[in-house]
Amino acid sequence: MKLSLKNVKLSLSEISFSYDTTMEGGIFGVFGVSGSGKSTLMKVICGIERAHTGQVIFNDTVFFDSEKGIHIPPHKRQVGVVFQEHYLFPHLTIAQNLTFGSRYTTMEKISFSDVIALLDLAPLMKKKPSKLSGGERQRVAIGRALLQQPRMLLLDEPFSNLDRSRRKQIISYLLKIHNRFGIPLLIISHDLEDILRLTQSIIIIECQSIKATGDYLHIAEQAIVPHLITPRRFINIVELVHQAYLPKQRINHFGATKDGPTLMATNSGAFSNERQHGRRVRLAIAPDDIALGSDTCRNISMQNQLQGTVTHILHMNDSFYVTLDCGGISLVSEITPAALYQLDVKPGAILVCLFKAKAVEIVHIFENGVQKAN
Amino acid sequence: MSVAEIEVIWLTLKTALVSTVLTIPIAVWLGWIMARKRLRFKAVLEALISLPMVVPPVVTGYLLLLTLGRNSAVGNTLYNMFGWQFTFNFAALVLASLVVSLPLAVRSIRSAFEMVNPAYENAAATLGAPPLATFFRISLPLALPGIISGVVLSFARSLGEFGATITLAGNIFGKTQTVALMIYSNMQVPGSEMQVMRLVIFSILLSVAAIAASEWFSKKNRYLRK
Repeated sequence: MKLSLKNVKLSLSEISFSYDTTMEGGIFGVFGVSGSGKSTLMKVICGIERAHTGQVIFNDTVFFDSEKGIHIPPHKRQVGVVFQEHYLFPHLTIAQNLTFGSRYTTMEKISFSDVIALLDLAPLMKKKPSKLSGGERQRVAIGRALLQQPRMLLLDEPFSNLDRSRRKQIISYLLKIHNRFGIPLLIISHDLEDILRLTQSIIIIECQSIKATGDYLHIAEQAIVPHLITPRRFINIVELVHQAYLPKQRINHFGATKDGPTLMATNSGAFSNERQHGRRVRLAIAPDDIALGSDTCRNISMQNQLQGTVTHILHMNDSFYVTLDCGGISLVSEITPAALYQLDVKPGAILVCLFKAKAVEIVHIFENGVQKAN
Repeated sequence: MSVAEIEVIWLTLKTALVSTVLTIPIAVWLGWIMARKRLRFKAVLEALISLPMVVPPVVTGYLLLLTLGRNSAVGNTLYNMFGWQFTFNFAALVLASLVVSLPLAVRSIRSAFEMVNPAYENAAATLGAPPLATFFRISLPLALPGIISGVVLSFARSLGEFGATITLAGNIFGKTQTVALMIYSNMQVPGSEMQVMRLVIFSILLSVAAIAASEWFSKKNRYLRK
Protein backbone atom coordinates (compact mmCIF):
# COMPACT_ATOMS: atom_id res chain seq x y z
CA MET A 1 0.00 0.00 0.00
CA LYS A 2 0.93 3.59 -0.40
CA LEU A 3 -0.75 6.11 1.84
CA SER A 4 0.20 9.73 1.68
CA LEU A 5 -0.95 12.68 3.72
CA LYS A 6 0.21 15.92 2.21
CA ASN A 7 0.14 19.03 4.33
CA VAL A 8 -3.00 17.86 6.15
CA LYS A 9 -4.13 20.39 8.73
CA LEU A 10 -7.14 20.55 10.99
CA SER A 11 -8.08 21.88 14.40
CA LEU A 12 -10.38 20.32 16.96
CA SER A 13 -11.37 22.02 20.21
CA GLU A 14 -8.72 24.70 19.55
CA ILE A 15 -5.94 22.10 19.14
CA SER A 16 -4.18 22.17 15.76
CA PHE A 17 -3.08 18.97 14.09
CA SER A 18 -0.78 18.69 11.10
CA TYR A 19 0.19 15.54 9.26
CA ASP A 20 2.61 15.19 6.40
CA THR A 21 4.01 11.79 5.48
CA THR A 22 4.05 8.94 2.99
CA MET A 23 3.82 5.33 4.11
CA GLU A 24 4.74 2.49 1.82
CA GLY A 25 4.62 -1.11 2.90
CA GLY A 26 2.41 -3.80 4.36
CA ILE A 27 2.31 -3.02 8.07
CA PHE A 28 2.84 0.39 9.65
CA GLY A 29 2.95 1.25 13.33
CA VAL A 30 1.98 4.69 14.59
CA PHE A 31 3.70 5.49 17.86
CA GLY A 32 3.25 8.43 20.21
CA VAL A 33 2.35 9.18 23.79
CA SER A 34 -1.28 9.70 24.85
CA GLY A 35 -2.81 12.87 23.44
CA SER A 36 -0.17 13.25 20.74
CA GLY A 37 -2.69 13.04 17.90
CA LYS A 38 -2.56 9.37 16.90
CA SER A 39 -6.29 8.74 17.00
CA THR A 40 -7.03 11.95 15.09
CA LEU A 41 -4.67 10.74 12.36
CA MET A 42 -6.70 7.54 12.19
CA LYS A 43 -9.96 9.50 12.00
CA VAL A 44 -8.59 11.65 9.16
CA ILE A 45 -7.55 8.54 7.21
CA CYS A 46 -10.91 6.78 7.61
CA GLY A 47 -12.86 10.01 7.03
CA ILE A 48 -14.61 10.45 10.38
CA GLU A 49 -12.77 13.76 10.78
CA ARG A 50 -12.46 16.09 7.86
CA ALA A 51 -9.22 18.03 7.50
CA HIS A 52 -9.30 21.76 6.72
CA THR A 53 -6.51 21.65 4.17
CA GLY A 54 -4.28 19.13 2.43
CA GLN A 55 -4.57 15.81 0.64
CA VAL A 56 -5.09 12.21 1.73
CA ILE A 57 -4.33 9.70 -1.01
CA PHE A 58 -4.53 5.91 -0.68
CA ASN A 59 -2.84 4.04 -3.54
CA ASP A 60 -4.52 5.75 -6.52
CA THR A 61 -7.65 6.94 -4.72
CA VAL A 62 -7.92 10.53 -3.52
CA PHE A 63 -9.76 10.33 -0.19
CA PHE A 64 -9.50 14.03 0.48
CA ASP A 65 -8.28 17.07 -1.42
CA SER A 66 -9.18 20.46 0.02
CA GLU A 67 -8.26 22.35 -3.16
CA LYS A 68 -10.37 20.18 -5.44
CA GLY A 69 -13.14 19.97 -2.85
CA ILE A 70 -12.94 16.16 -2.66
CA HIS A 71 -14.02 14.43 0.53
CA ILE A 72 -15.00 10.79 0.20
CA PRO A 73 -17.26 10.04 3.19
CA PRO A 74 -16.17 7.22 5.54
CA HIS A 75 -18.80 4.76 4.28
CA LYS A 76 -17.34 4.93 0.76
CA ARG A 77 -13.66 4.61 1.69
CA GLN A 78 -13.55 0.88 2.45
CA VAL A 79 -11.13 1.47 5.29
CA GLY A 80 -11.75 -0.96 8.12
CA VAL A 81 -11.37 0.44 11.62
CA VAL A 82 -10.94 -1.42 14.90
CA PHE A 83 -11.59 1.17 17.58
CA GLN A 84 -9.93 1.09 20.97
CA GLU A 85 -13.34 0.76 22.63
CA HIS A 86 -14.45 -1.63 19.86
CA TYR A 87 -17.96 -0.14 19.63
CA LEU A 88 -19.70 -3.42 18.98
CA PHE A 89 -23.39 -2.61 18.50
CA PRO A 90 -24.99 -3.48 21.85
CA HIS A 91 -28.45 -4.27 20.42
CA LEU A 92 -27.11 -6.84 17.94
CA THR A 93 -25.72 -10.33 18.46
CA ILE A 94 -22.12 -11.12 17.56
CA ALA A 95 -23.26 -12.77 14.31
CA GLN A 96 -25.26 -9.65 13.41
CA ASN A 97 -22.33 -7.42 14.34
CA LEU A 98 -20.01 -9.46 12.14
CA THR A 99 -22.27 -9.30 9.09
CA PHE A 100 -23.25 -5.65 9.58
CA GLY A 101 -21.04 -4.37 6.77
CA SER A 102 -21.44 -7.32 4.37
CA ARG A 103 -24.50 -5.87 2.62
CA TYR A 104 -22.56 -2.75 1.59
CA THR A 105 -19.91 -4.59 -0.36
CA THR A 106 -20.05 -6.78 -3.43
CA MET A 107 -16.58 -8.27 -3.03
CA GLU A 108 -16.08 -11.64 -1.39
CA LYS A 109 -12.34 -11.80 -1.06
CA ILE A 110 -12.62 -12.55 2.65
CA SER A 111 -15.23 -15.19 3.45
CA PHE A 112 -17.34 -15.36 6.59
CA SER A 113 -16.20 -18.89 7.40
CA ASP A 114 -12.53 -17.93 7.00
CA VAL A 115 -12.85 -15.06 9.45
CA ILE A 116 -14.77 -17.16 11.97
CA ALA A 117 -12.13 -19.88 11.81
CA LEU A 118 -9.17 -17.50 11.84
CA LEU A 119 -10.34 -15.54 14.87
CA ASP A 120 -12.01 -18.46 16.70
CA LEU A 121 -15.37 -16.72 16.79
CA ALA A 122 -17.68 -19.74 16.37
CA PRO A 123 -18.64 -20.10 20.08
CA LEU A 124 -19.58 -16.41 20.37
CA MET A 125 -22.08 -16.05 17.52
CA LYS A 126 -25.34 -15.95 19.49
CA LYS A 127 -24.04 -13.84 22.37
CA LYS A 128 -24.55 -10.12 22.91
CA PRO A 129 -21.43 -7.90 23.13
CA SER A 130 -21.99 -7.21 26.84
CA LYS A 131 -21.38 -10.90 27.61
CA LEU A 132 -17.93 -10.95 26.02
CA SER A 133 -14.48 -10.47 27.58
CA GLY A 134 -12.14 -7.71 26.37
CA GLY A 135 -10.11 -10.08 24.23
CA GLU A 136 -13.23 -11.60 22.67
CA ARG A 137 -14.66 -8.16 21.87
CA GLN A 138 -11.37 -7.25 20.24
CA ARG A 139 -11.51 -10.32 17.99
CA VAL A 140 -15.13 -9.63 17.03
CA ALA A 141 -14.25 -6.01 16.19
CA ILE A 142 -11.41 -7.22 13.97
CA GLY A 143 -13.67 -9.79 12.32
CA ARG A 144 -16.42 -7.22 11.74
CA ALA A 145 -13.95 -4.83 10.10
CA LEU A 146 -12.55 -7.62 7.91
CA LEU A 147 -15.95 -8.76 6.66
CA GLN A 148 -16.64 -5.43 5.00
CA GLN A 149 -13.69 -6.35 2.72
CA PRO A 150 -11.47 -3.38 3.60
CA ARG A 151 -8.67 -2.11 1.44
CA MET A 152 -6.75 -1.27 4.60
CA LEU A 153 -7.28 -2.00 8.29
CA LEU A 154 -6.69 0.63 10.99
CA LEU A 155 -6.34 -0.53 14.58
CA ASP A 156 -6.45 1.97 17.43
CA GLU A 157 -4.56 0.77 20.52
CA PRO A 158 -5.27 -2.93 19.91
CA PHE A 159 -3.08 -3.97 22.85
CA SER A 160 -4.49 -1.75 25.57
CA ASN A 161 -6.43 -3.44 28.36
CA LEU A 162 -5.00 -6.83 27.38
CA ASP A 163 -2.64 -8.94 29.46
CA ARG A 164 0.68 -10.23 28.12
CA SER A 165 -0.66 -13.52 26.74
CA ARG A 166 -3.66 -11.84 25.06
CA ARG A 167 -1.31 -9.32 23.46
CA LYS A 168 0.80 -12.11 22.01
CA GLN A 169 -2.38 -13.71 20.71
CA ILE A 170 -3.57 -10.49 19.02
CA ILE A 171 -0.14 -9.95 17.43
CA SER A 172 -0.33 -13.46 16.04
CA TYR A 173 -3.89 -12.88 14.72
CA LEU A 174 -2.85 -9.63 13.03
CA LEU A 175 0.11 -11.26 11.30
CA LYS A 176 -2.18 -14.10 10.16
CA ILE A 177 -4.68 -11.60 8.74
CA HIS A 178 -1.98 -9.68 6.95
CA ASN A 179 -0.50 -12.77 5.39
CA ARG A 180 -3.73 -14.64 4.60
CA PHE A 181 -5.68 -11.76 3.09
CA GLY A 182 -2.90 -9.38 2.07
CA ILE A 183 -4.56 -6.43 3.81
CA PRO A 184 -2.28 -3.53 4.77
CA LEU A 185 -2.40 -2.75 8.48
CA LEU A 186 -1.92 0.54 10.29
CA ILE A 187 -1.51 -0.03 14.00
CA ILE A 188 -1.75 2.82 16.46
CA SER A 189 -0.21 2.21 19.85
CA HIS A 190 1.68 3.84 22.68
CA ASP A 191 3.41 0.51 23.26
CA LEU A 192 6.47 0.42 21.07
CA GLU A 193 7.50 -3.14 21.90
CA ASP A 194 4.22 -4.53 20.62
CA ILE A 195 4.40 -2.41 17.46
CA LEU A 196 7.92 -3.70 16.81
CA ARG A 197 6.77 -7.31 17.11
CA LEU A 198 4.52 -6.54 14.13
CA THR A 199 6.61 -4.15 12.10
CA GLN A 200 9.72 -2.02 12.07
CA SER A 201 8.14 0.56 9.77
CA ILE A 202 6.87 3.23 12.09
CA ILE A 203 5.54 6.76 12.27
CA ILE A 204 6.38 8.88 15.27
CA ILE A 205 3.78 11.43 16.35
CA GLU A 206 4.41 14.11 18.90
CA CYS A 207 2.57 17.36 19.70
CA GLN A 208 -0.10 16.69 17.07
CA SER A 209 2.31 16.34 14.16
CA ILE A 210 4.41 13.63 12.51
CA LYS A 211 8.05 13.79 13.55
CA ALA A 212 9.45 10.82 11.67
CA THR A 213 8.48 8.03 9.28
CA GLY A 214 10.52 4.99 8.38
CA ASP A 215 12.53 2.11 9.76
CA TYR A 216 12.66 2.09 13.55
CA LEU A 217 16.37 1.44 13.82
CA HIS A 218 17.17 4.12 11.28
CA ILE A 219 15.07 6.65 13.24
CA ALA A 220 16.82 5.60 16.44
CA GLU A 221 20.30 5.69 14.91
CA GLN A 222 19.74 9.09 13.34
CA ALA A 223 18.50 10.36 16.73
CA ILE A 224 15.58 12.17 15.04
CA VAL A 225 13.41 12.05 18.18
CA PRO A 226 15.94 10.84 20.78
CA HIS A 227 13.69 11.50 23.75
CA LEU A 228 11.05 9.16 22.32
CA ILE A 229 12.92 6.62 20.27
CA THR A 230 16.02 5.00 21.65
CA PRO A 231 17.47 1.58 20.94
CA ARG A 232 16.75 0.87 24.61
CA ARG A 233 13.18 0.20 23.61
CA PHE A 234 14.20 -1.75 20.58
CA ILE A 235 13.63 -5.44 20.07
CA ASN A 236 15.38 -7.50 17.40
CA ILE A 237 12.90 -9.09 15.03
CA VAL A 238 14.11 -11.87 12.76
CA GLU A 239 12.12 -13.89 10.23
CA LEU A 240 13.56 -17.33 9.57
CA VAL A 241 12.44 -20.78 8.45
CA HIS A 242 12.05 -23.65 10.92
CA GLN A 243 14.62 -26.26 10.03
CA ALA A 244 14.57 -28.93 12.70
CA TYR A 245 13.33 -29.92 16.10
CA LEU A 246 15.64 -31.98 18.30
CA PRO A 247 13.33 -33.73 20.77
CA LYS A 248 16.08 -34.91 23.10
CA GLN A 249 17.52 -31.44 23.55
CA ARG A 250 14.07 -29.88 23.21
CA ILE A 251 15.44 -27.28 20.88
CA ASN A 252 14.48 -25.84 17.48
CA HIS A 253 16.78 -24.78 14.69
CA PHE A 254 15.88 -21.82 12.50
CA GLY A 255 17.74 -20.44 9.52
CA ALA A 256 17.37 -18.24 6.47
CA THR A 257 19.10 -20.69 4.16
CA LYS A 258 20.53 -24.22 4.51
CA ASP A 259 24.13 -23.03 4.60
CA GLY A 260 23.47 -19.82 6.49
CA PRO A 261 23.64 -19.24 10.21
CA THR A 262 21.34 -21.19 12.48
CA LEU A 263 19.46 -19.74 15.39
CA MET A 264 18.26 -21.91 18.25
CA ALA A 265 15.20 -21.48 20.40
CA THR A 266 13.66 -23.64 23.08
CA ASN A 267 10.55 -25.55 22.20
CA SER A 268 7.39 -23.76 23.03
CA GLY A 269 5.42 -26.85 22.10
CA ALA A 270 4.65 -25.35 18.72
CA PHE A 271 7.08 -27.45 16.72
CA SER A 272 6.71 -30.93 18.15
CA ASN A 273 4.50 -31.74 15.19
CA GLU A 274 6.56 -32.51 12.10
CA ARG A 275 4.07 -30.77 9.85
CA GLN A 276 5.25 -27.49 11.30
CA HIS A 277 8.72 -27.93 9.83
CA GLY A 278 9.63 -25.61 7.02
CA ARG A 279 7.38 -22.83 8.23
CA ARG A 280 8.39 -19.20 8.30
CA VAL A 281 8.70 -17.89 11.84
CA ARG A 282 9.00 -14.45 13.37
CA LEU A 283 11.39 -14.37 16.33
CA ALA A 284 12.17 -11.62 18.85
CA ILE A 285 15.37 -11.13 20.87
CA ALA A 286 15.98 -8.23 23.26
CA PRO A 287 19.28 -6.34 22.60
CA ASP A 288 20.36 -6.67 26.24
CA ASP A 289 20.05 -10.46 25.98
CA ILE A 290 22.79 -10.52 23.33
CA ALA A 291 26.39 -10.56 24.59
CA LEU A 292 29.36 -10.00 22.31
CA GLY A 293 32.56 -12.03 22.24
CA SER A 294 35.72 -12.01 20.19
CA ASP A 295 35.40 -15.72 19.48
CA THR A 296 33.02 -18.64 19.87
CA CYS A 297 32.97 -20.31 23.23
CA ARG A 298 32.72 -24.09 23.71
CA ASN A 299 32.16 -24.46 27.39
CA ILE A 300 29.24 -22.17 27.85
CA SER A 301 25.51 -22.68 28.21
CA MET A 302 24.64 -20.14 25.49
CA GLN A 303 23.38 -22.12 22.52
CA ASN A 304 23.39 -19.29 20.00
CA GLN A 305 26.78 -18.15 18.82
CA LEU A 306 26.51 -16.20 15.57
CA GLN A 307 29.51 -14.60 13.96
CA GLY A 308 28.91 -11.20 12.41
CA THR A 309 30.43 -7.95 11.18
CA VAL A 310 29.82 -4.72 13.05
CA THR A 311 27.97 -2.29 10.79
CA HIS A 312 26.94 0.49 13.15
CA ILE A 313 27.58 1.66 16.69
CA LEU A 314 25.27 4.04 18.52
CA HIS A 315 26.12 5.58 21.86
CA MET A 316 23.17 6.53 23.98
CA ASN A 317 23.04 7.26 27.68
CA ASP A 318 25.24 4.66 29.37
CA SER A 319 25.04 2.03 26.66
CA PHE A 320 26.37 1.25 23.23
CA TYR A 321 24.08 -0.32 20.66
CA VAL A 322 26.08 -2.37 18.20
CA THR A 323 24.46 -3.53 14.97
CA LEU A 324 25.96 -6.66 13.43
CA ASP A 325 25.31 -8.43 10.17
CA CYS A 326 25.42 -12.13 10.98
CA GLY A 327 25.30 -13.68 7.52
CA GLY A 328 22.11 -11.93 6.52
CA ILE A 329 20.59 -11.77 10.00
CA SER A 330 20.83 -8.26 11.42
CA LEU A 331 21.10 -8.10 15.21
CA VAL A 332 21.52 -5.24 17.69
CA SER A 333 23.37 -5.90 20.93
CA GLU A 334 23.41 -3.59 23.93
CA ILE A 335 26.77 -3.47 25.70
CA THR A 336 28.45 -1.31 28.33
CA PRO A 337 31.24 1.20 27.49
CA ALA A 338 33.65 -1.08 29.41
CA ALA A 339 32.80 -4.03 27.11
CA LEU A 340 33.15 -1.80 24.05
CA TYR A 341 36.70 -0.80 25.00
CA GLN A 342 37.66 -4.29 26.15
CA LEU A 343 36.62 -5.85 22.83
CA ASP A 344 37.72 -2.82 20.79
CA VAL A 345 34.42 -2.77 18.92
CA LYS A 346 34.64 -0.78 15.67
CA PRO A 347 32.65 -0.85 12.42
CA GLY A 348 34.01 -3.71 10.33
CA ALA A 349 35.15 -5.72 13.35
CA ILE A 350 34.20 -9.40 13.37
CA LEU A 351 32.57 -10.50 16.60
CA VAL A 352 30.30 -13.26 17.89
CA CYS A 353 26.79 -12.64 19.19
CA LEU A 354 26.07 -14.90 22.15
CA PHE A 355 22.60 -15.46 23.53
CA LYS A 356 20.58 -18.17 25.19
CA ALA A 357 18.05 -20.26 23.31
CA LYS A 358 15.63 -19.15 26.03
CA ALA A 359 16.15 -15.50 25.07
CA VAL A 360 14.52 -16.14 21.68
CA GLU A 361 10.78 -15.50 21.71
CA ILE A 362 8.61 -17.07 19.01
CA VAL A 363 6.27 -14.22 18.03
CA HIS A 364 4.41 -15.90 15.19
CA ILE A 365 4.48 -19.00 13.02
CA PHE A 366 3.35 -18.18 9.51
CA GLU A 367 1.17 -20.54 7.55
CA ASN A 368 2.60 -22.33 4.55
CA GLY A 369 1.76 -21.15 1.07
CA VAL A 370 0.18 -17.88 2.15
CA GLN A 371 -0.30 -14.92 -0.07
CA LYS A 372 2.40 -12.30 0.25
CA ALA A 373 1.03 -8.98 1.41
CA ASN A 374 1.34 -5.93 -0.78
CA MET B 1 -70.47 4.99 33.29
CA SER B 2 -72.97 6.62 30.98
CA VAL B 3 -72.97 6.35 27.21
CA ALA B 4 -72.08 10.05 27.03
CA GLU B 5 -69.04 9.53 29.26
CA ILE B 6 -67.86 6.54 27.22
CA GLU B 7 -68.29 8.57 24.05
CA VAL B 8 -66.20 11.41 25.50
CA ILE B 9 -63.51 8.99 26.74
CA TRP B 10 -63.38 7.39 23.29
CA LEU B 11 -63.01 10.78 21.59
CA THR B 12 -60.25 11.73 24.05
CA LEU B 13 -58.35 8.48 23.39
CA LYS B 14 -58.86 8.82 19.64
CA THR B 15 -57.55 12.40 19.68
CA ALA B 16 -54.51 11.48 21.79
CA LEU B 17 -53.80 8.46 19.61
CA VAL B 18 -54.02 10.29 16.27
CA SER B 19 -52.04 13.23 17.63
CA THR B 20 -49.34 10.89 19.00
CA VAL B 21 -49.07 8.96 15.73
CA LEU B 22 -48.57 12.26 13.90
CA THR B 23 -46.15 13.47 16.57
CA ILE B 24 -43.77 10.48 16.24
CA PRO B 25 -42.18 11.24 12.84
CA ILE B 26 -42.06 14.99 13.49
CA ALA B 27 -40.57 14.59 16.97
CA VAL B 28 -38.04 11.94 15.87
CA TRP B 29 -36.91 14.17 13.02
CA LEU B 30 -36.68 17.30 15.19
CA GLY B 31 -35.09 15.37 18.08
CA TRP B 32 -32.46 13.95 15.73
CA ILE B 33 -31.68 17.36 14.25
CA MET B 34 -31.42 18.96 17.69
CA ALA B 35 -29.18 16.17 18.99
CA ARG B 36 -26.84 15.70 16.05
CA LYS B 37 -26.85 18.54 13.56
CA ARG B 38 -24.88 21.74 13.74
CA LEU B 39 -27.35 24.46 12.79
CA ARG B 40 -26.92 28.17 12.68
CA PHE B 41 -30.28 29.00 14.19
CA LYS B 42 -30.51 26.03 16.53
CA ALA B 43 -31.33 28.21 19.55
CA VAL B 44 -34.19 29.86 17.64
CA LEU B 45 -35.52 26.48 16.54
CA GLU B 46 -35.28 25.18 20.07
CA ALA B 47 -37.16 28.21 21.42
CA LEU B 48 -39.87 27.76 18.79
CA ILE B 49 -40.31 24.07 19.60
CA SER B 50 -40.35 24.67 23.36
CA LEU B 51 -42.66 27.69 23.24
CA PRO B 52 -45.94 25.76 23.66
CA MET B 53 -44.48 24.20 26.81
CA VAL B 54 -43.93 27.54 28.55
CA VAL B 55 -46.67 29.86 27.28
CA PRO B 56 -50.19 29.32 28.66
CA PRO B 57 -51.94 26.70 26.45
CA VAL B 58 -54.73 29.26 25.88
CA VAL B 59 -52.15 31.50 24.20
CA THR B 60 -51.00 28.58 22.02
CA GLY B 61 -54.63 27.92 21.07
CA TYR B 62 -55.20 31.58 20.37
CA LEU B 63 -52.07 31.80 18.16
CA LEU B 64 -53.22 28.70 16.27
CA LEU B 65 -56.65 30.27 15.84
CA LEU B 66 -55.04 33.45 14.52
CA THR B 67 -52.89 31.49 12.07
CA LEU B 68 -55.29 28.80 10.92
CA GLY B 69 -58.73 30.28 11.56
CA ARG B 70 -61.02 30.85 8.59
CA ASN B 71 -60.34 34.59 8.79
CA SER B 72 -56.58 34.16 8.49
CA ALA B 73 -54.74 34.08 5.15
CA VAL B 74 -53.34 30.58 5.73
CA GLY B 75 -56.64 29.17 7.04
CA ASN B 76 -58.58 30.72 4.20
CA THR B 77 -56.18 29.40 1.56
CA LEU B 78 -56.21 25.88 3.04
CA TYR B 79 -60.01 25.91 3.06
CA ASN B 80 -60.35 27.21 -0.48
CA MET B 81 -57.73 24.91 -1.96
CA PHE B 82 -58.27 21.63 -0.07
CA GLY B 83 -61.39 22.19 1.96
CA TRP B 84 -59.33 21.79 5.15
CA GLN B 85 -60.54 23.38 8.33
CA PHE B 86 -58.74 23.50 11.68
CA THR B 87 -61.30 25.08 13.95
CA PHE B 88 -64.10 23.55 16.05
CA ASN B 89 -63.70 20.02 14.66
CA PHE B 90 -61.70 16.80 15.19
CA ALA B 91 -58.73 18.17 13.18
CA ALA B 92 -58.60 21.15 15.57
CA LEU B 93 -58.61 18.77 18.56
CA VAL B 94 -55.70 16.81 17.09
CA LEU B 95 -53.78 19.93 16.08
CA ALA B 96 -54.09 21.52 19.54
CA SER B 97 -52.94 18.27 21.17
CA LEU B 98 -50.07 17.86 18.74
CA VAL B 99 -48.68 21.37 19.16
CA VAL B 100 -48.89 21.26 22.94
CA SER B 101 -47.43 17.77 23.36
CA LEU B 102 -44.73 18.01 20.67
CA PRO B 103 -42.16 19.82 22.86
CA LEU B 104 -42.32 17.06 25.46
CA ALA B 105 -41.74 14.38 22.82
CA VAL B 106 -38.93 16.33 21.12
CA ARG B 107 -37.12 16.94 24.42
CA SER B 108 -37.30 13.32 25.42
CA ILE B 109 -36.33 11.99 21.98
CA ARG B 110 -33.52 14.50 21.68
CA SER B 111 -31.96 13.34 24.94
CA ALA B 112 -32.46 9.72 23.84
CA PHE B 113 -30.42 10.42 20.70
CA GLU B 114 -27.86 12.39 22.68
CA MET B 115 -27.33 9.38 24.91
CA VAL B 116 -26.36 7.27 21.91
CA ASN B 117 -22.60 7.52 21.62
CA PRO B 118 -21.85 8.96 18.14
CA ALA B 119 -18.92 6.54 18.00
CA TYR B 120 -21.44 3.78 17.18
CA GLU B 121 -22.59 5.80 14.19
CA ASN B 122 -18.98 6.39 13.14
CA ALA B 123 -18.29 2.67 13.48
CA ALA B 124 -21.30 1.91 11.25
CA ALA B 125 -20.03 4.42 8.67
CA THR B 126 -16.58 2.79 8.59
CA LEU B 127 -18.38 -0.52 7.96
CA GLY B 128 -19.85 0.98 4.80
CA ALA B 129 -23.32 1.99 6.04
CA PRO B 130 -24.66 5.19 4.39
CA PRO B 131 -26.12 7.84 6.77
CA LEU B 132 -29.76 6.75 6.34
CA ALA B 133 -28.92 3.09 6.98
CA THR B 134 -26.86 4.10 10.01
CA PHE B 135 -29.87 6.03 11.32
CA PHE B 136 -32.30 3.13 10.93
CA ARG B 137 -29.95 0.30 11.90
CA ILE B 138 -28.00 1.97 14.73
CA SER B 139 -29.22 5.33 16.04
CA LEU B 140 -32.95 4.58 16.03
CA PRO B 141 -32.83 1.14 17.69
CA LEU B 142 -30.33 2.36 20.29
CA ALA B 143 -32.50 5.37 21.13
CA LEU B 144 -35.76 3.41 20.92
CA PRO B 145 -36.54 3.07 24.65
CA GLY B 146 -36.06 6.84 25.04
CA ILE B 147 -38.18 7.52 21.98
CA ILE B 148 -41.01 5.31 23.28
CA SER B 149 -40.78 7.02 26.65
CA GLY B 150 -41.12 10.41 24.95
CA VAL B 151 -44.03 9.21 22.85
CA VAL B 152 -45.87 7.84 25.89
CA LEU B 153 -45.30 11.12 27.72
CA SER B 154 -46.67 13.11 24.82
CA PHE B 155 -49.68 10.76 24.66
CA ALA B 156 -50.33 11.44 28.36
CA ARG B 157 -50.04 15.17 27.77
CA SER B 158 -52.55 14.94 24.92
CA LEU B 159 -55.08 13.19 27.16
CA GLY B 160 -55.13 16.13 29.54
CA GLU B 161 -54.96 18.95 27.01
CA PHE B 162 -57.41 21.73 27.88
CA GLY B 163 -56.42 25.34 27.17
CA ALA B 164 -55.40 25.15 23.54
CA THR B 165 -58.21 22.70 22.80
CA ILE B 166 -61.00 24.84 24.19
CA THR B 167 -59.66 27.87 22.31
CA LEU B 168 -59.14 26.20 18.94
CA ALA B 169 -61.71 23.39 18.96
CA GLY B 170 -64.29 24.67 21.40
CA ASN B 171 -66.26 22.53 23.86
CA ILE B 172 -68.97 20.93 21.70
CA PHE B 173 -70.42 17.74 23.15
CA GLY B 174 -70.21 14.85 20.69
CA LYS B 175 -67.80 16.76 18.48
CA THR B 176 -64.94 18.33 20.39
CA GLN B 177 -65.63 17.67 24.06
CA THR B 178 -62.83 15.63 25.64
CA VAL B 179 -62.57 14.27 29.19
CA ALA B 180 -60.84 17.41 30.53
CA LEU B 181 -63.48 19.65 28.94
CA MET B 182 -66.33 17.46 30.22
CA ILE B 183 -64.94 17.61 33.77
CA TYR B 184 -64.71 21.40 33.47
CA SER B 185 -68.27 21.72 32.12
CA ASN B 186 -69.86 19.32 34.64
CA MET B 187 -68.10 20.88 37.61
CA GLN B 188 -70.43 23.79 37.15
CA VAL B 189 -73.55 21.61 36.97
CA PRO B 190 -75.07 20.76 40.40
CA GLY B 191 -75.60 17.02 40.96
CA SER B 192 -72.81 15.93 38.57
CA GLU B 193 -70.24 15.33 41.33
CA MET B 194 -70.18 11.55 40.84
CA GLN B 195 -69.72 11.85 37.09
CA VAL B 196 -66.90 14.35 37.59
CA MET B 197 -65.26 12.05 40.13
CA ARG B 198 -65.46 9.05 37.76
CA LEU B 199 -63.79 11.05 34.98
CA VAL B 200 -61.19 12.43 37.39
CA ILE B 201 -60.28 8.91 38.56
CA PHE B 202 -60.16 7.70 34.94
CA SER B 203 -57.82 10.59 34.01
CA ILE B 204 -55.54 9.99 36.97
CA LEU B 205 -55.28 6.25 36.33
CA LEU B 206 -54.51 6.71 32.65
CA SER B 207 -51.89 9.39 33.33
CA VAL B 208 -50.20 7.38 36.07
CA ALA B 209 -50.05 4.35 33.77
CA ALA B 210 -48.58 6.45 30.98
CA ILE B 211 -45.93 8.02 33.22
CA ALA B 212 -45.02 4.61 34.67
CA ALA B 213 -44.62 3.24 31.15
CA SER B 214 -42.51 6.22 30.16
CA GLU B 215 -40.25 5.76 33.20
CA TRP B 216 -39.87 2.06 32.48
CA PHE B 217 -38.78 2.72 28.91
CA SER B 218 -36.39 5.51 29.85
CA LYS B 219 -34.74 3.22 32.44
CA LYS B 220 -34.28 0.63 29.71
CA ASN B 221 -32.20 3.18 27.84
CA ARG B 222 -29.52 3.30 30.51
CA TYR B 223 -27.51 0.34 29.26
CA LEU B 224 -26.46 2.51 26.34
CA ARG B 225 -24.30 4.67 28.54
CA LYS B 226 -21.84 1.81 28.97
